[in-house]
Amino acid sequence: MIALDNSVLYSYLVQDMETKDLEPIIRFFNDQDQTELFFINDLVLTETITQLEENIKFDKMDILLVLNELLLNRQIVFNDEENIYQAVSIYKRIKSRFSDCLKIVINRKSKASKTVTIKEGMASLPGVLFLAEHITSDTQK
Amino acid sequence: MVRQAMKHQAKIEKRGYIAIPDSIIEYLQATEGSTIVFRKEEDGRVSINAPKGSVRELAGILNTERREKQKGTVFQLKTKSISSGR
Repeated sequence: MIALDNSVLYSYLVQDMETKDLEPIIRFFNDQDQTELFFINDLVLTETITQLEENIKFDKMDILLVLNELLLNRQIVFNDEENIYQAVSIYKRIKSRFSDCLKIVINRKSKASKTVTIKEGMASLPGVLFLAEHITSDTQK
Repeated sequence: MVRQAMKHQAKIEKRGYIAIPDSIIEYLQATEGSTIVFRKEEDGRVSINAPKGSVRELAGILNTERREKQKGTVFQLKTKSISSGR
């Protein structure tokens, strides 16, 4: 099994005019046996997806397409696939970053009752205590 | 029928083992380390998502030209669930 870095994964998925060092990346994958496994850890996955989210050329449908294809690919191995599936399921429903969705899933799995944040983008995620809202409602009482 | 169901039954806690016929493993082209995804359908039956091909098929999946073609297609992300056979 070979671990992939987000620089390689991102370039391999995107392959546009701006992609750097594409040739050695394509050569690398073409040289590998079709039974070889490629490990994508949670950090690499979230960094890749964040790069895609920050690129105006891609929308949520593109990102869901990538996640779907990675999850179903027989040569791709994740740290905990169940976590990724759950994070994608949340990501599909809620307007939030994928990394935040995965964060919530991992926290919940680690038996955390809540995730405390001041990040507005995370407020609608399940199991999140959004402090700004909390402080406002407390002040109003 | 019951005996056959018992044969494939597994108590699953986090990770467990279930028997899958060789013919299905062959069809899915599953090798060591491959992940087989199960889906519990609304009618109670369990389906398997066949893992797609090689990593080479991911090449340029977001390339502008390919992306334009994919925009028109609707896809559904499969959710994962494992039936305990009960």
